[in-house]
Amino acid sequence: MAALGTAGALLLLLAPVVGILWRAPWRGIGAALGEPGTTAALRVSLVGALAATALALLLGMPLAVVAVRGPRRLRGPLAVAALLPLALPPVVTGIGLLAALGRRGVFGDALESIGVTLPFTLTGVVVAQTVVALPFVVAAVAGGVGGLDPAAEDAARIHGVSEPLLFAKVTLPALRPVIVAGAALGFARCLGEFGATITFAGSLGGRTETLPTVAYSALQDDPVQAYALAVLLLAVAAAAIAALRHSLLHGIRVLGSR
Amino acid sequence: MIELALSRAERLHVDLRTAARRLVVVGANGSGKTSLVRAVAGTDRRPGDRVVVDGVDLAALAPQDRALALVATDPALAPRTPAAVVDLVLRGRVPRRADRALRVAELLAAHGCAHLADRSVATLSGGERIRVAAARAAAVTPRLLLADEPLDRVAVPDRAAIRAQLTALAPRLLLATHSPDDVAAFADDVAVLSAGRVVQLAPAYDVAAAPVDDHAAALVDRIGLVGTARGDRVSLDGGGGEVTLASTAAGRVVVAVRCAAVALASEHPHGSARNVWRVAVASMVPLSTGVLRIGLAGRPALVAEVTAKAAADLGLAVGLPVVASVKATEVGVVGAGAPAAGR
Repeated sequence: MAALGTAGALLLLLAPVVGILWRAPWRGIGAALGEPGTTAALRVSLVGALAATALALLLGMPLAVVAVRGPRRLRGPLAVAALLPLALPPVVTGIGLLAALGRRGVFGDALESIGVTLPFTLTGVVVAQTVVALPFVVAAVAGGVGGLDPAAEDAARIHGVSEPLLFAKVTLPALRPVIVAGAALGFARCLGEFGATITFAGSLGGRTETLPTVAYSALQDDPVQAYALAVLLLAVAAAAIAALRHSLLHGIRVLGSR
Repeated sequence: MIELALSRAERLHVDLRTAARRLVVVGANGSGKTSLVRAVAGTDRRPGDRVVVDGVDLAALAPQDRALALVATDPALAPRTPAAVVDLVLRGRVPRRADRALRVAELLAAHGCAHLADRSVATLSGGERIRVAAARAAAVTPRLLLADEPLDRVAVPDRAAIRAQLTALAPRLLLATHSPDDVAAFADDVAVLSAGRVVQLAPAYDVAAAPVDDHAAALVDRIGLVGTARGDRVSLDGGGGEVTLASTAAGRVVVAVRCAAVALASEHPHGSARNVWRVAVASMVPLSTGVLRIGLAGRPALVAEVTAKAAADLGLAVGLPVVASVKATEVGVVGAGAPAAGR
């Protein structure tokens, strides 16, 4: 049974990989990837995913703490708000972001008055990816906060350790594995992000075009280029997953235990 | 002087004062022992709390000025190594890193855990954890040491030495326990807690001689005697007489004599008991189980537990001279290195 299931799962998981490698234009791949549009898209993808992961950590960690330890009445609604993008199609998230933060969006004028433009900018890419990465960060960190031993913090408090020191030396180190796991999950999610990014930030060559969006556009008029990009994305994803696999598996365990 | 006024909804209503250096709190499970310790520790501070130790109201002080320490069954050591655990507590007190490292090493060595300094606390045994917790407690030079069943996970042969460490830690001790040996080893005064209220507060001897309820009788069922051991003899402090041990010991010790192990006779018995004292009946208190606790005036001052029938056969009455005897094998060393002052 186990062998059969494993074989079936691998068959499905590896089918797209085999498909891409089979169809890849190996002879022309160097030229296809050397195009300036591609290197720009790779840069936008990596910079966007890194910035979005950092922002998601910065905002998601406090939210996770409040969602677990905050006022009882807030915990449920906060968890729903934080996890909503998991179930929402990314395109819908993108449409929502446009409706709220777009030039003609609900808060568009307010943003413009302070000189901030989000749609069709790199900042917009980061915002869209932050939204889709947040649930992963929040879920992983919240799992860790829920599993913290309050006795350890109380013991330090009783012996007169100040709150900032307590956070830095007891709470944060205890949360480190879940923070790394949340960041890994969020980063992996950002790298593959397509729907929310293209809807909210569009795909302006050199500015907001990421590897997935450039691959999608290429599929319409230059299939060779699309397959070359698919190979590149596959390589980036495989490298990221291989590097982060322990943290990712830990993050998934934490998600499962919530 | 320890003065406590603490209220926690249905769980705890304590208002007590004692001049005792060491106050031991006993009571059934759920009687509020841990709630009391937590309330004194201030982790759930409420307005109206009073925790006054030697004239200082700890509830009014910032946590780092309270000089409180806690040793609990699971001392919840963090961060990862004993050295880091002690260092964390010293941070606010010893600003220079080098001085602090020195002090950490000193404290760990003084509590027998220098060799554990860089181990992971997760790998330490119950006894090792309590030693590290004692080192952490010493780091704050506490005016009051709180302890919540600190020896529960300590192997029996190690308990006497760890009791001595805890005794030496602070000028005042408040210890919650369900171990009769702890009561004998530590208690100047005993507070009996029932449903969150103090139902008896008295010197340990008085509680043993006249326990307020069955729980108090079960937990305060032996008398602790402090003295200096030499060979198999312990000469008790304050001209309290001598006790013979089954094995040998050296230096300051606390020995415990169970009330039920004290046999009474009208004449000098010709038996195997190595400890025989001429004493007089000072009090007689019946317990609900049908036995009597007999307070004995003499050197040492002991408490015997005998059946009502035996008491009647001997014609026991207050003031009657009797001979008390205890086998040396019934005298347990429950504390070591006990300081001369106090008790």
